[in-house]
Amino acid sequence: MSGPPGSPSGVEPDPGLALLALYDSALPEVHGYLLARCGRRALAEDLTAEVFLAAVAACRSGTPQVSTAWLVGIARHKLVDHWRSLEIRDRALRVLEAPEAEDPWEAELDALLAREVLDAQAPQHRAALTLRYLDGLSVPEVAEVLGRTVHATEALLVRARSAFRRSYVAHTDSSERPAEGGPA
Amino acid sequence: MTDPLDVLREPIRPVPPDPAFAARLRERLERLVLGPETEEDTVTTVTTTDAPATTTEAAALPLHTLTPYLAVPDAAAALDFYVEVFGAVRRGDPIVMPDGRVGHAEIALGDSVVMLAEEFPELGLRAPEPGAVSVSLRLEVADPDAVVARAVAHGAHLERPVTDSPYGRGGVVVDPAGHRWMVSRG
Repeated sequence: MSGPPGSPSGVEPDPGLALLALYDSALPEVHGYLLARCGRRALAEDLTAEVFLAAVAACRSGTPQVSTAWLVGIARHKLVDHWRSLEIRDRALRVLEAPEAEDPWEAELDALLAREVLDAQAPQHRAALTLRYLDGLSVPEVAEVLGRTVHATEALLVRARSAFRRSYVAHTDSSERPAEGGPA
Repeated sequence: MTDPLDVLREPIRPVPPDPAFAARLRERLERLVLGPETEEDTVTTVTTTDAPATTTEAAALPLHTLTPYLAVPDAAAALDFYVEVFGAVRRGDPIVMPDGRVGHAEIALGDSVVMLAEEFPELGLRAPEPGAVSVSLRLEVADPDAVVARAVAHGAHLERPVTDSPYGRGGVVVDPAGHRWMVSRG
């Protein structure tokens, strides 16, 4: 049985109560994290609810260290799960990509355009690039969140960067070209 | 060497969600955290044959504004299923028509009443056909995993296994009479 809030000291604090106490301050952080990465308000709300419900479940089955960083970690996994389900749906539509070598790319990217290009990438690439660049995780950390080996994650990042680069370059080329009329 | 993609770096910027959403989610979390830990599965193992047909509590239950009235191929089998699987309590004795068909029966499910009768095709009343259900019944239970497992053990078709969703934990079964139940803990 769990004690009421403010139970006598010396009693292990109930992680569920700690979660409720943290809710008001953690909610904008978790929601802001998700909104900036998935870009759609309704989806961000759904994922935010999933994060907190998963947190309650974790509090019931164990004694996690309840913190905002812990909740953001759950959010990261929910985001990856979301992209994974999109990836499974889309897989039938795409031909397998051949592994490719990567030339060094020296360019200064426009941040806004880069975000736009990122949002248009395939879900799996978007997941890898988001964790690596938006979140700033190391390759082994990305591998852990994705549930892949470091080697497979490196290969995925090479493909994701190449695809990103192709889109970005195509985008800048087309936007530099003067506007033309429609097809003749 | 710098990576041009580093321009994507996005520190966490707090964004408060819609206040109504925040309030709803808080309420759900409070219910989960502060509510009874795991309500005991209140379903008893009475059957239509060896248990009292009704309880005074079930008999006294007032009708809500809306009451489902189901058409079933076999009323006795359906009553047994609802009693054994969902913990329904019978309200009164079924009314049997001169031709032997059950024309009316009632059960209490929690605080709600469900009425049922056998099929009367001449009146346009038939049980749902497989794959052609137009009305679903959402049933709130303390332990959706146990109830769905019991439903399947009693011959229900498992349409959606129990999972967590933003709307609660639950699964979907189609009972042997053809009715679709969304067994949930919201």
